[in-house]
Amino acid sequence: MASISIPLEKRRSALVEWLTTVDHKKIGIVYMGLAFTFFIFSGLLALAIRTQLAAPGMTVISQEFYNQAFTMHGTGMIFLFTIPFLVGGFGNYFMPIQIGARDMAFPKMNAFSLWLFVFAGFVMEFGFMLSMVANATGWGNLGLGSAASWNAYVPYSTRAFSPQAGMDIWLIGITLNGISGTLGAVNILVTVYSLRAPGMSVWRLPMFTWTLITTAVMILLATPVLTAGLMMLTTDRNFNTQFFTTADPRMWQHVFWFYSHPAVYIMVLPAMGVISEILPVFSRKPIFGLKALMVSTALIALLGFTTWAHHMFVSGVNPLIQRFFMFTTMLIAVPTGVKIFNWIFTMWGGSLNMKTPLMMSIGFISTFTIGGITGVFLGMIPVDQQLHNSYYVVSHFHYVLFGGSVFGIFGGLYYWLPKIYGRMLSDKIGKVQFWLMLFGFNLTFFPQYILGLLGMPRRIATYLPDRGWDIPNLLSSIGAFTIAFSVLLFIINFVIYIVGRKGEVAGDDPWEGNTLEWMTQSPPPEYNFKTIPVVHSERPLWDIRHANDNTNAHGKH
Amino acid sequence: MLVNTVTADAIAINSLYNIALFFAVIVFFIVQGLLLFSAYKYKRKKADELPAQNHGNMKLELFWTIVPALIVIMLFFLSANTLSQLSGAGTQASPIHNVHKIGDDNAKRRIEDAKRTDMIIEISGRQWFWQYKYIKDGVNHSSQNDGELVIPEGKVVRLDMNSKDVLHAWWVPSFGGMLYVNPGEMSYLWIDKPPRGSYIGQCNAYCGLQHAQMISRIKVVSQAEYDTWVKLKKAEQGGVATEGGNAERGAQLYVDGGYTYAEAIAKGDTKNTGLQAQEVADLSAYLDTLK
Ligand SMILES: [Cu+2]
Ligand SMILES: [Cu+2]
Repeated sequence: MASISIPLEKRRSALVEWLTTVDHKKIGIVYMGLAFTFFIFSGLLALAIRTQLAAPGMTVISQEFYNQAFTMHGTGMIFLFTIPFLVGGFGNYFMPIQIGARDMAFPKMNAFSLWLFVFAGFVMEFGFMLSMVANATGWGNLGLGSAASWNAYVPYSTRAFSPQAGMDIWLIGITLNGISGTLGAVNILVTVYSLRAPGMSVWRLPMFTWTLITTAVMILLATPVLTAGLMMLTTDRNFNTQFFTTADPRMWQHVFWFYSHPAVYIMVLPAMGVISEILPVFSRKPIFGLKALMVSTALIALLGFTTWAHHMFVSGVNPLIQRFFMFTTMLIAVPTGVKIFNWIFTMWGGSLNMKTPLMMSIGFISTFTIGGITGVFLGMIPVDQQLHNSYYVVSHFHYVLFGGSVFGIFGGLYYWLPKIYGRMLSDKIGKVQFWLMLFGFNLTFFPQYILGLLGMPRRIATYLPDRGWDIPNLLSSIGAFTIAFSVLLFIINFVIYIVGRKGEVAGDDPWEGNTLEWMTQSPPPEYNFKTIPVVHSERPLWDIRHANDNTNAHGKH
Repeated sequence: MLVNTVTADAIAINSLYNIALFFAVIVFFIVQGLLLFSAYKYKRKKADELPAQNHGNMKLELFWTIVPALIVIMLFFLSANTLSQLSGAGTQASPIHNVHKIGDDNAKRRIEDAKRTDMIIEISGRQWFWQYKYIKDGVNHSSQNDGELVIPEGKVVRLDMNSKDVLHAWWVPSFGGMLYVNPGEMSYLWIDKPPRGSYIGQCNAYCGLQHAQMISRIKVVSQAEYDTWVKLKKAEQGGVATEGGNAERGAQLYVDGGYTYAEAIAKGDTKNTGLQAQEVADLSAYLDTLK
């Protein structure tokens, strides 16, 4: 390995460089690396859960650990993987380059957000891991992990019912994580507002940047609400305040879902942005209905703030208010459907370069559609009164967040890693990974729709053999291990072709990209561009490539 | 739905689900079909081919905005319609025994007017079992040790549910519908004329360590069988209790019934409250502690 021969002196300074960097690209890489680590960790917890549920009456893990495992699986995937990977990772690395900037507007605050995220992540996971080890080695119960599920419903999460310190540690971790995210959102908005290259008007913003700023607006409006709620719950637990302990139990639910419904879009909109970048490039066509896509993104964000109480259809909420939330929830299917058809018609009549990023995007559209459709079912109050909190719901949001966000993230990785490291991943391994992941994903989650319809509640550590849930559960568990294997293939691909430098040299623009990140070197220099480019359309690189032919470079808009 | 739906409520929800499923299947096949077709048909054939640079099509885009909008609006009205047919229609907003508004008579009337009720069973969710109290028949029972909730067939049963600790949720898929069971207030759910048979449900709001064990087994039997069961249970309980007043149980009655009960006892006229002799004694014992 080349790195071994680097003198100690230099290596230390490289470490110091990574710890003190304010370069948006390095910050982005640390975000991605760490978020991916949390993805692996939370994924292993999912495997523990699926092993336990593979057959009725299993005792592979204790009930106590099971409850902590699903709590940390959920919170890890949401707060430590999906959001930081898309917003902190892809967002930090690519948004400034896409708009022709040299860095974020506030580079030091950017570094602060990163290290606060790192700290919050370790606060959240460290106590849980200690508890886990203590349990496994027979030290007994340290009580440093939370077992209140990700929505921490009051009164279960109050001191009276969750006395252990793990609950406080979890609350503090998520609070810090929220502060980090909010600062990041401010940075994104100011950067896009003030540092765009000349000529980059609103309608010429790359789709990924557009979805990122919509996401940032959502974070800015929603996250502080959750953060405040978490802090109040923390003081309720520790300083005898009475914000939630004596309040109507629905109070916490409103606060929680006011953040957590928009959080779904915070997790999925940037991934939609990623595939909206990939599809036109790999179809060699402009994106179909750019303005409709941009407007529908904004509409989803706006409507996303009016639907939160659809999580409370069985909590005992005024029926009239419920109908309002049913209407907004069902309405959100419309802009979502617009996106799906616009993506398909971007491919329609194109010249499709069937490489892994495009296949991941097609996988995204296919699986996300199923998640979207079942979302309409759950938006219908009578249906929700039957399927609320069942495995139907578990399946629905995994179709949205794995079928959507995770496919989008892998698509983005195959698309952008060559830019970050200057080397290509193996497309062959990528395709095998794609097919395995698609198959494993549907094998894991489709049976869960059936389980929901058969009456299986979520968050149960085991079930009796007389319920008729055995076969779908077994299939689901086999699927989970298939997904794990597909992720392992990605890691192998990365280690061999990028870390091991076996991949082809990527060059500046391996995919015939449209946006400015493909204009600079791979990896980009610290200042990103020697001269700041001038933008004439939403496809500045297409314009350059086709400057001399008469296929009307700018096209009609 | 894949469970055996037996009550009018469950059947109504099921048919709504099937209507939505019909449209869902159509949308599913259109989307997946178009996706697979374009992925197959438009694969790049020559390295330098340049497809037409099509930026969009207003008519098409309007089409796939308006048609889905019409579908969801239709489903919205169908859902609202089904909702108003369900047994509990309009009652969920009125947790009448909510500790914050004890004695909300309007709300209480709304619950009573909502649906004709043959019998009332009070259900208390506890970590981690269900307690059943048959109001008229004076039977106390629980889901511990596989205890069954026994119901006579063809009756409209109202479940008055509250929690003694954290949130729980009552859900028996075959009867349709579920509702959270909250501490400090009552939630109401109806079982609408269930046919004979055994049914199973489970707590559906995560409530801690043994949430998975909070199972409810329901047995619907003939009226005669039910009467025998009640007699048997009462014998087990040693007949109708006539011990001295228990202030602790009285406190709970006070929370449940509020000042209407307290007032009746103060006046010495409890005929219209429906309270049993034992309950009057308990409540009086509790009211004494307040003096
Ligand atoms: Cu939601
Ligand atoms: Cu429970």
